[in-house]
Amino acid sequence: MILTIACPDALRDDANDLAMVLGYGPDDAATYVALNWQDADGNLYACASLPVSDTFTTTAQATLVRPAWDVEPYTISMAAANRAQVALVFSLEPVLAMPDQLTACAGDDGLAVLAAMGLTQLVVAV
Amino acid sequence: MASPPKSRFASLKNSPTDVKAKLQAALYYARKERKKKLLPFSPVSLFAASQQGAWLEAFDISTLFQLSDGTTAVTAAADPIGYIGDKSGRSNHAIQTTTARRLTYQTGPFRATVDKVDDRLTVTVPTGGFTGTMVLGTDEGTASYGVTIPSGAYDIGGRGGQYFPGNAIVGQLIRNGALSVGEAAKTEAYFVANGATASYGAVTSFTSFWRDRAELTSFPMIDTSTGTNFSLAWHNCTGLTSFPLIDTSSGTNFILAWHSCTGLTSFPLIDTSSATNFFQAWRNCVGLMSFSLIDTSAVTNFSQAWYDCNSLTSFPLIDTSVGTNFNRTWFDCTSLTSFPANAFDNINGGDFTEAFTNTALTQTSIDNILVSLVASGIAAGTRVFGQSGGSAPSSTGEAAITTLRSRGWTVTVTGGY
Repeated sequence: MILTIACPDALRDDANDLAMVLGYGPDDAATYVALNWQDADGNLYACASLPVSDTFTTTAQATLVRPAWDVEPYTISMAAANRAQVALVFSLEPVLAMPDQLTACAGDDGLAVLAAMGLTQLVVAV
Repeated sequence: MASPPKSRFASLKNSPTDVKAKLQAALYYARKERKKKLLPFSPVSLFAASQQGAWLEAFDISTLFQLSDGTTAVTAAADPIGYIGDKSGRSNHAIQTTTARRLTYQTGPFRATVDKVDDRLTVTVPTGGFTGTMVLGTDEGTASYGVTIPSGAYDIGGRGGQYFPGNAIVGQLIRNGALSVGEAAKTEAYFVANGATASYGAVTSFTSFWRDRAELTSFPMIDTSTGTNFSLAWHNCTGLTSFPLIDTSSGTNFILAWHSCTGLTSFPLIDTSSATNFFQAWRNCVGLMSFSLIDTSAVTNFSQAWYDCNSLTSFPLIDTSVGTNFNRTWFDCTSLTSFPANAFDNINGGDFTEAFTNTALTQTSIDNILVSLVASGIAAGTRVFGQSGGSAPSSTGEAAITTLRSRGWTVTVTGGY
């Protein structure tokens, strides 16, 4: 399954902590960086799209566990990761991205999913 | 070249035996040369003189790994690709350390899918950079480009994760030092033989294909004949100084197509006979010294088309007969002095808001424009005209302004008439 995730500006730091918990290592802190997408109201989002295992959604919604690689002094803020988890919304169909949610939708074509989530790529200032 | 067997060269003289030996040697070399010619081309020869570069093959699974440290081999379709080994021998491997940004392996045919959301690997280009040729084979087309790539991180896959001329990468070769035409053609054929699509001739939407590729110094004469949407296709290709006469005859949408191609000094007479929308098409092409008399007979939206083209000194008599929107079309063309007469005689709409703001029009030119607007007969809908900089209109232009105002136009010109 391919998941495409829209992360609003305000949740970027928290969402990157969650990405480190669910991913492979500290470099996953760079999952949500550039705010290249916007919704109809002008809210900005950083987006990611990746293939995930069938158990990913279960894992992502279960109690978060600090990865073994993260030893003191910790890289991950588990409090931030938990906040992002609370904001996480999964859907098998595209739903509109919201500025207070981490919206993850399934679909083979990430660009098409983002479009269905009501997001457009930023172009240039007019 | 290896020596032939010594026995055949042991004592070559002019005896019949020696003649036979010579013939055998000649036959030996002929067979060897023939065999050499039959051998398939391999890009390894392009790096034989220790040239710098990178040679990446998404179809060679032995070079693909899931993790950026080159561990966990890619073995099946849908596996993530976090590492593509460089086959040039220069160890310029492509890696991605962030999980979500990894490309996805695809079989049947073998290639790496780029999602255009965030997928890209990074090659760290060594000190000195690469100045030469890049051959890129994708699922939608294969082409060779002149490139100058500075040292540091260079995206393989989506530019910034988002922009790529296709949906999957099959192979990419970059060599410091230009390839000959023959070498580039052989490399393209090699990628095509391994799964890349040869021509871009079936693509209809080129949206953002080469966007933000500042490294391109030359663009190839590819087949774009079926392209209808060229929006943002070459946006911000700042390294291009010229552009080829590609076939854009089916193109309708050229929104921001060459926006910020700041290195272009001229533009070819491409076929834009189907074009309807030139919104910001050449905006910020600050190096353009001249512009061709392209076919604009179907264009309705000229808004901001040449905004900030501040090296243009004159402009051709383009066809504006179906144009409705000229909002800020030549805004900030600070060197634009000469503008032809009769340019707007047959327009369909009167939105010229700030169309000539901050230009350098001569008195004759601003008179030409105002008289032509009168000739258009536009007396309904949006009727706004703006000019600043350059010369004020003469009495001829002032008379035209009076007529336009009587038709409901709001006219602002240099000198404040």
